[in-house]
Amino acid sequence: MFEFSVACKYLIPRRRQLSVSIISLISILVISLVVWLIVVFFSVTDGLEKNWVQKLTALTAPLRITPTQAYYNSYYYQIDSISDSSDYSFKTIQEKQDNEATDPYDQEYDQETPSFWPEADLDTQGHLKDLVQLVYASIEDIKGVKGLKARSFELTASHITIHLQRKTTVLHPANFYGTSTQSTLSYPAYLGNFVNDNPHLKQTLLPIRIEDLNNQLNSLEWANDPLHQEQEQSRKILSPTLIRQRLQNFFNAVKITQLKTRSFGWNIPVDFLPEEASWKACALFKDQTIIRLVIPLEAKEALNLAEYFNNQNLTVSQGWITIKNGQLFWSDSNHSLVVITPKTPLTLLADQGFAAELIEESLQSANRIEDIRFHLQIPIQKTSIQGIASYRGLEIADFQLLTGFAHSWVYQSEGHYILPQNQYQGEGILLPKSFKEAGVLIGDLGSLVYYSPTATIIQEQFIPVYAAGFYDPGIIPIGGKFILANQNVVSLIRSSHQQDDKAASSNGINVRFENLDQADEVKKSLIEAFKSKGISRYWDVQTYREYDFTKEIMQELQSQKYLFMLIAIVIILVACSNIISMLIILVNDKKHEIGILRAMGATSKSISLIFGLAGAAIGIFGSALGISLAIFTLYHLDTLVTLLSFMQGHEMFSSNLYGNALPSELSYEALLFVLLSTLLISLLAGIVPAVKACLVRPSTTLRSSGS
Amino acid sequence: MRVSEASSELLLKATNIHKSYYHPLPVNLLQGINLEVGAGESAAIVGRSGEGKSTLLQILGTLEEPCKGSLVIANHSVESANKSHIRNQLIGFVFQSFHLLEDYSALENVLMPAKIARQKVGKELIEHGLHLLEQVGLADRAHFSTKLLSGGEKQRVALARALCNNPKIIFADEPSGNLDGHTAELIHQLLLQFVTDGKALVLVTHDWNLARLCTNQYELKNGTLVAATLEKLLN
Repeated sequence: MFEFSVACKYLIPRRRQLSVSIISLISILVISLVVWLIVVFFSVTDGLEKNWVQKLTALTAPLRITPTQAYYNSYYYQIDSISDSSDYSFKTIQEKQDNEATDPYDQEYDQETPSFWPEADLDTQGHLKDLVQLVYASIEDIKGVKGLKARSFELTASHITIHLQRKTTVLHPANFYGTSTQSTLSYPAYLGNFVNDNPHLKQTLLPIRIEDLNNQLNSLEWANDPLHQEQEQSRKILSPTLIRQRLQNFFNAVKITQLKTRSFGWNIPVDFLPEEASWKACALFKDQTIIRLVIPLEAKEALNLAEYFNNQNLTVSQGWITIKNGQLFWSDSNHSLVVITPKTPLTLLADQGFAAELIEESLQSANRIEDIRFHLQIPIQKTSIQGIASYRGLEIADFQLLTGFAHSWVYQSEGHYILPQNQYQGEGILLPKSFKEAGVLIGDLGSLVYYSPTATIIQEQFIPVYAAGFYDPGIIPIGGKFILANQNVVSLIRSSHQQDDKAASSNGINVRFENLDQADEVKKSLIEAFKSKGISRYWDVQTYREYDFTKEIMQELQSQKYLFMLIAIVIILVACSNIISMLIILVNDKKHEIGILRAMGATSKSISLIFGLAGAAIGIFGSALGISLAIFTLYHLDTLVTLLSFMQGHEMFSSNLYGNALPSELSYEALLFVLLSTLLISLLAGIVPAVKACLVRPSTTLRSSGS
Repeated sequence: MRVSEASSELLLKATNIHKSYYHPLPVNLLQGINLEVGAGESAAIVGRSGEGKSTLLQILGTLEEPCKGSLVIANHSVESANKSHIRNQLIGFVFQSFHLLEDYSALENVLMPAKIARQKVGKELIEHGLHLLEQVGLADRAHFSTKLLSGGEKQRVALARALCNNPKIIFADEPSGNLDGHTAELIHQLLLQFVTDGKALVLVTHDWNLARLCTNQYELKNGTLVAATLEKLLN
């Protein structure tokens, strides 16, 4: 095309038109910079939003169906309260779904229905409409939605108390020992029912850590008795038979590969000691006598160890332990080869793990956890010692989880998640990440409190629970207080609330499917189905954008996006104004040539097009450069974030809000937006110079002598 | 005003052309110019500088609008809508200062009118361009940048370019004004050769020797066009 070839000719840098070349180069650079910024920003925010929404819907659902007041007032709901076959009590949606008979009312046995009650909503055959079954039927009728599944949910409010039992160290030269402290966390909380076949659960569950496992193992001895949990002395220890049984279950599911010493050390049994050895160590003195020798795993740690003890106001000296023919000697700068009495404890401090293997038989005879025994192999400063020792003073450093066995924390079995419960610890509950950050470990015991009104008083009731896992709720405002428990727990607490107390409880149906973008489509077809079945007034359908607890944050995300889009457009406009000035200079430069082309018959339209195309070419080239830069940046986003964090001196993006890694997937929406807007704006930018160009009068430019 | 008796096809008919300027003072440059040029004719317009020769040529060549008057080129009445088409297809220009496109080679310059007419740039068109350059004796300079050409060569390229779309009329404004005598003669020959082909030439010059070579000679004086007197022609 003639116009395009001329436009290209104009844009190729030439020495004669240096100013134009420099300005067009700057224009391209500015546009590519802006495009780069926008694409990277939008890609990251888009990814973040996707992550947030995913977490948001992982524990609820992309779509939710909740009963309206009309449902609670309906004959269908109310009839259970006067029917003998329903135990004269209201039913949850789950119970309604499980119940085979739609109408439990029996005219012969049950009292008359009050006259002010609403009429029963009957279908064309004269049967009572089963409002819950009809909803499930409507959901089943939806076609073309992948992974469509409906489960009832219950939400209620409760109060959770968790006791944190922790070992601490007391250092005394004569006696290192661990003591325990207990603190209690107590929060009001929301309680939701755990859905075991939720496919999104996996993304939010946090993995079990070593400290969790240690805590879980230690809690095996104790019974969870909410009434006697407050003081440590009153805690109830289980019988040896039960402990043995529970240990057996624990070790069925966990294979311990490494142990380490507790913070107060582990006394090396005499039979572990080799014939010959030489270890760097610290000696603790009392009245000039060595009362304890502390050996670090690595020789270079000895200095730190000595300093540490010094800070604890202990008399300490650094030196060497030598073993010769089974006899122990101590030497340091003041002493040489002092004989160590066999009674002096040799304490190993190892914060790194060493190989350990459980002696299975020891589980049969253990009365306490400390009685289980391991075969240990410890490489102390290049001399390896080994032997069999009890678990006392040791803790788990590394482990393998074995599948196919029941765990005492959230685990997956045959495609389903299981939130375990047992009679000693109580009901397992899944806690949000904030609890973990507050110091709660898996295995911590506690209770859920609720109030049950009786005829005379309101009674405080406890359900013993224990932390069985943590999940990441994302950024939902109530996320830090949203606890998941098994259905029966939630139902029990919910039934203690007034049924229509919306603030304290809610009940409904979660509809899950894979593609969140289909939410509106599913909602539309559900509303239509409800209308055709005549049940639309009993049910509210909401997508994840409309939930009370998400609405604000979704709108916030949306408005932030629009705000940035506005800023982006302004920046692009500024960048493109560069193109305008460059093209105006170009037109002035090329006035003579424009005159020649006009004299040869080029139309003013052609001339305008030449400059419009020149503008667009700069826009496109700049965008292309910017997009390639953006792709490169997204590919190396981690490096960039590390650099920025380093420059800033603290973490750039808090992992609480943004997850462990920023999303780095290219957002095609952003790409489209940038491409369209830069193309449009650079074409618009071409208009001013194009108009200027077609106003050039060939007669004027040709009369002045040219070349 | 038509002096020639030839009954050939009329290629240019200008009727009552007026042109005035108003800044700073009103100047009535052209006051009712009538001109007819037929096929095979060449018209030379002679006049002192400042008389409006170039303005007249630009008006005749549709590059400038007259204040009054009408213009018909090869049976096309000139209006703003068809000007570009007329310039592209029916007329060619040769200017005193050549007005070549600098960033292009000689051949590219010659073919520019064809490109503007959206003809496909292929073997055929390139051959046509080379043929035109050969006619003006510049076949060996086809791929030279125009910056490297001499004045005479440039004007020959400009002439070849004017011929590209096989126009009916060539408008030449002092075509040899910037050239030495020998080169000027060459250009004159080429221009007059064009007329013998059943085309027309309108040229503006102050050089009576050149004017004499044309079939018709006019003198622009005080805004009107008069046939040159025999005295002027002989002197």
